Amino acid sequence: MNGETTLGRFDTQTALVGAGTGAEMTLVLTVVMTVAAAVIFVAVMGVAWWAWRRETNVRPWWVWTGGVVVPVITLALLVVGSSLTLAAIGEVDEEPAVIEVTGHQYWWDVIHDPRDRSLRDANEIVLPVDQPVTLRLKSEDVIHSFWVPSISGKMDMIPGRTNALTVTATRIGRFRGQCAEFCGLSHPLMAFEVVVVSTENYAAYLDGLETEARDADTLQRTRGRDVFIEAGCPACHAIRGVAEGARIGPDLTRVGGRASLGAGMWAMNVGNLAGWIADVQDMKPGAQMPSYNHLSGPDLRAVAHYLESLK
Amino acid sequence: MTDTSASDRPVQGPVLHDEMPEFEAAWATPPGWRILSSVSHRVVGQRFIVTGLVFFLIAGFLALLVRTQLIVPNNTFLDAETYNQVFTMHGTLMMFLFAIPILEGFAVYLLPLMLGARDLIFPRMGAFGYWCYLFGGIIVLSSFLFDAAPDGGWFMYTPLSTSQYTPGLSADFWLIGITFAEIASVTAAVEIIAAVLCTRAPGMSLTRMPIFAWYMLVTAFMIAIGFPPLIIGSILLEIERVAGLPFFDVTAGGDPLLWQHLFWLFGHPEVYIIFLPAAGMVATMLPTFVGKPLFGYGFAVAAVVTMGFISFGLWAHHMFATGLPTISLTLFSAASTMVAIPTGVQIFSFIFTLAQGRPRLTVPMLFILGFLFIFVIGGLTGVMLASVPFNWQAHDSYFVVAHLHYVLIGGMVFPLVGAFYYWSPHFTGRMMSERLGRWAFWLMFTGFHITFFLMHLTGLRGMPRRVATYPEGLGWDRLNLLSTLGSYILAAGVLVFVWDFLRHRMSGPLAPRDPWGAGTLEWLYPPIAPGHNFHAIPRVHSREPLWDQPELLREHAHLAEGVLRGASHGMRETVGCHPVTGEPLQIVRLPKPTWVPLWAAATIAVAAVATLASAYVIAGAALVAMLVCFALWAWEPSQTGETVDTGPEGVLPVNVADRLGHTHIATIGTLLVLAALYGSLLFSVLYLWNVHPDFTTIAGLADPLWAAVAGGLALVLIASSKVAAHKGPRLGLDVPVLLSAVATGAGLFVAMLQIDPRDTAVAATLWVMAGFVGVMLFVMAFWSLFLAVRKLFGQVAPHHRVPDLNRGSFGLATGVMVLIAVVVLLAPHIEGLS
Amino acid sequence: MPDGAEHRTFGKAGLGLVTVGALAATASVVAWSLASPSNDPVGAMVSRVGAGWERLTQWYAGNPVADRPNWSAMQVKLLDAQSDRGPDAMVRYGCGACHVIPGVAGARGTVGPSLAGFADRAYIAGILTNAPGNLQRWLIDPPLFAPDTAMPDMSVTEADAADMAAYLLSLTGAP
Repeated sequence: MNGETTLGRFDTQTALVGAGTGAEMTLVLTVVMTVAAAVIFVAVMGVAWWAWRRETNVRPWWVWTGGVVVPVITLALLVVGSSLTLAAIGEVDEEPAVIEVTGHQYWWDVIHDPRDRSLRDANEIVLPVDQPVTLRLKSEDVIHSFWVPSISGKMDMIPGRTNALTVTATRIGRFRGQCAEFCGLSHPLMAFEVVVVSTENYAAYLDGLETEARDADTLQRTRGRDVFIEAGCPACHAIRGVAEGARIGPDLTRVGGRASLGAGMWAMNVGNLAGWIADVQDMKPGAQMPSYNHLSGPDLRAVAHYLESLK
Repeated sequence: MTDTSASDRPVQGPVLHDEMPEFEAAWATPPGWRILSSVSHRVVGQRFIVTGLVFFLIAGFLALLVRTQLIVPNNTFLDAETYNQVFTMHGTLMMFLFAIPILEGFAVYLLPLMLGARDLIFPRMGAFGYWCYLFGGIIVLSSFLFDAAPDGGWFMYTPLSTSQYTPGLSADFWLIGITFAEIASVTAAVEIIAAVLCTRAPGMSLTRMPIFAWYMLVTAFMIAIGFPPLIIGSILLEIERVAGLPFFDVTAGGDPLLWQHLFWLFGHPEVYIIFLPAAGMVATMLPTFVGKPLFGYGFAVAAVVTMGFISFGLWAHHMFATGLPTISLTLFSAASTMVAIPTGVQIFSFIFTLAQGRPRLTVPMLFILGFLFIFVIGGLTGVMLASVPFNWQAHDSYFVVAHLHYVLIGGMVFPLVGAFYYWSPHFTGRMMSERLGRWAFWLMFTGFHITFFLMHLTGLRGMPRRVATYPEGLGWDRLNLLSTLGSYILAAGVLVFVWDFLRHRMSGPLAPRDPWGAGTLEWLYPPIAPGHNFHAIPRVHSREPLWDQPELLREHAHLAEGVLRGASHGMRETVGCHPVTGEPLQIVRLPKPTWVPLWAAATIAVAAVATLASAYVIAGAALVAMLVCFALWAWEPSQTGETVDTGPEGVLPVNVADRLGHTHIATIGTLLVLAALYGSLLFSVLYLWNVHPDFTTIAGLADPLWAAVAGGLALVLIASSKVAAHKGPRLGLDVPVLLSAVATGAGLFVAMLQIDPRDTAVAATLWVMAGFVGVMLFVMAFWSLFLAVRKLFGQVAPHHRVPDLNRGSFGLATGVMVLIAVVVLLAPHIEGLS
Repeated sequence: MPDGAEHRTFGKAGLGLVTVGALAATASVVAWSLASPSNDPVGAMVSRVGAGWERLTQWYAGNPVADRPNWSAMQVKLLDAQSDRGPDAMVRYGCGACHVIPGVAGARGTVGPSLAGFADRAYIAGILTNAPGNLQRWLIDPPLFAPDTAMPDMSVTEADAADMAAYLLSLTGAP
């Protein structure tokens, strides 16, 4: 995983690198099917080449063989193989943890342990390594699709339904996911990151989600917090210990601790935060959040610095 | 080249005119701008083809915009909104306004010539369909002018396409324009079914039919059943957008997945509807260049019919990621792989046809080879996509983009360009250039693979479809760069072909008679079209009459022996046959040029535009005008009872009143479409009941008493229309039909009044179902009124039984639909009891 | 009929050569298109060719560039920086969220002014003269010079600021 240069990191969003059981098994299936398809293609073209060169008496059983018998055998193998893979992907040997992910235009609401502790985060999904997790996928508005190619195949998020996708991450690291169902103007800008951590770190992360947000410890950050409240941000965004309850926009309690801003699109830093707040509609057309371009320069800086400090 | 001795070579030279002046006058094409009133299949077919080609070029240009936007990451060539409009319109134009219409154009043009008919069986319907297609296409395209181009994808998934998430008119342009244009497809389907079954040359039994006719027959049945789900879906969505009825709204028991089911119930057969005619062209051209008949004609026919059936059982493989239960996943996965078998049979039939002789590498042949190469890859990736786990990764990624372009460009565009090179002598009397054709082929072939082969990788590397831009550094940059460069090469190939097509009309070498040495009947006449098809319709004894009946080519075409030699009686007529044996059954009288189809289509266009502009009064007035047009259309003297001496086949009756007559077969075809429409509605009701059972009764239940009354009246309707059909035309028998239709509608309406359609999706769908039955009853009433008026005016003699016969079948179907509706309305009551 | 026309054009050996060549070209293009951005043999080749071409033109002019004062190069030298590292740093600090910056991925923000042709500007934010040292210091802490600015202090390191300044000073010409 090289390239600290941009948010897009080479080889973190590909089905050809397995970092979860689903993706790994599917990758094996993919390779087997690709090789088989290549062999069949070469064989068919070979027959065609032969047929082109040769003038001969054709017999019906040739069509029976090529068109019926061989395909039936191949397809039967394929159906069996893929059904077995399908069954294997869904199989887990321990009770999976539950994470609820809700798609919005154009971001992801994440609730860890929704039944008991109901810990909210957004646009970044932390997963424990080697432990099955059931993702309960929902949508608040239009149809989205949850896809982290390196970890698992995709599953749609459909309003009025809850789809379950059970995944087991197998490698510690960061993997990029993206909405795979066309969902409107900023569909290409609806990504997220999956952070796979050790079991201990996952527990620590969950505990962190229960605590209140970090205090504003400098003059500028205090000003930023005040601006956050005065400008009306809490109508949509929650920061635990500062402004709670709102669920329209992403939870910002640990926004500065995320690697990215704007649903997996830009690096998390003061520069991007300031630009985002001042002109969301330019960076992400069609987003629900308006551009806050009426903030004074120092206020804008203060909010950006404050949010960046929430880790 | 097949070894043809000098005596077998076709006699060249033009068709001599003025041999049979009366015949030629009857078939003359109207001069000057009046050609717009022409209903000849040659004129209409060429209009379809040229219009389709124009839409192809527009859609191709949009594709280049898409590729240019994606050439580098973070590109700002197009903004997101424009990009969404461009890819939506690319898909829409390609699927609805290019692929299907242009293939129908070829069918409209070629089928009568291949089958030995003097025109397509319902020429006015063909012309009407064309105008609907043209006007619908213009409406869809005009959205660009109003800055309201659809931007929800060609698949228009709800709820993104509902007015909450797509305000404005963009989605309405799509829904109304496309539904309008689809009328062309559906009318053409009914027409092709009737034409293939009812107007074949004497002796052309089903087993002697040219293979292209088989492909088109199956395709037509698939259109008749496959398009209605989308038409119903579009109507539901448009009603939701305009009137707010909650079909897809989850809070009212609706379901976004209902749209997906309806869309893919159409969308998957659609793929085969596009592929099959093109494969039929391949199966027609290939034997010509091998010099031997198609190997495995029976195999191919069986495969095509099988494919038609299987294609309706696969739609859910577009929905593997929507959370279907595992058992459905496995079943649909297995069913999806099965379609590879009939496809494989066809491919091997083609390949082994090559082995029967020494094939010639002409330009059409080159495109056929390109088709084999590309389509086999597309088929194999298609089988891969049938595997559920793989599908979960590849679905909605660029892998699918690659797959579908391999199937559609390989399976349809390559054969189509080959077909242009093959049949161009027919359109212009001139040959297209072998040299330019090879350039076009190699550019297209190379560019195609550079563009799309890489997309398999792009998709597996995680790039989703329908993204206006992408970040750099994810491993997609260079693949996209190469794909875009490849698309320019592909476009250059298409341009060479278009240039050749435009150029050859003026300067291509004149084509000789039967220029490729083909065996099918369309090459009987020298290529420069005389404006009419057969001076005499020859009896055929084989699938390749020009090969097996050398006497046909041994003299001038207009001297070839056959039935109805030059006969016209001042009218256009052709031989109608028994659907199975192909033996002559009747004489079919065909209409002369008329403006009525254009008027009828224009009234619908006015209604569509007025609906878009929310001018509902104008829309209503336009629909009334449409009814007047249809009445004018049908107001013609019935000629049943007359007879014609055909020569070799003896005396045949005109327009027989028989269930095997062409109008009755067309009525059955129409009822097939209507049944599919109704079935889609029933599917919607049952689906919603099944998904959200708790919403069944919220909006109220139909009045059981009135529903039962409507059911009883429906039985009266069936009985009275059947009696009228049986007893022959009498004014007194029309009255009960008219009255029972009106009364049934009224009863149903009263029963429905207890249900509030605004409350739940089920209630709204039940109302649409009742509304559909109401339209059927209205047609029955209008039809009966029309027949009664005709009888009042003394236009009907006792033996003029055809209209009453057709109305009898229509009435039976309508009555059954009412009864089904009554059962559906009563079912929740019974459930409530238990 | 032109059956096998291709064979006649190339001959058997020629056809073989063309096939091998096409396969080799395909293989190298595939290898390049799949390689990670840091592994860019094609880009390296292009830049080597570019450098060679530059040397050639210098030699041809018989007038080595080193003799002429090159202000842009000297400014960069003054900063002890590498202008080609600038764009990466700018992406990292999110400059593109507010500014249009030619050559920086995704930099099309409209919150602040476009930085196209920045080397031609006389002043930085209308406050500091546009000199290399000033630009570097401005990038490190804008509010120090302009208390009311909306441009935040982004904890830019001195080295990164030098790289970014060097890059900005290489942007000449009006957009």
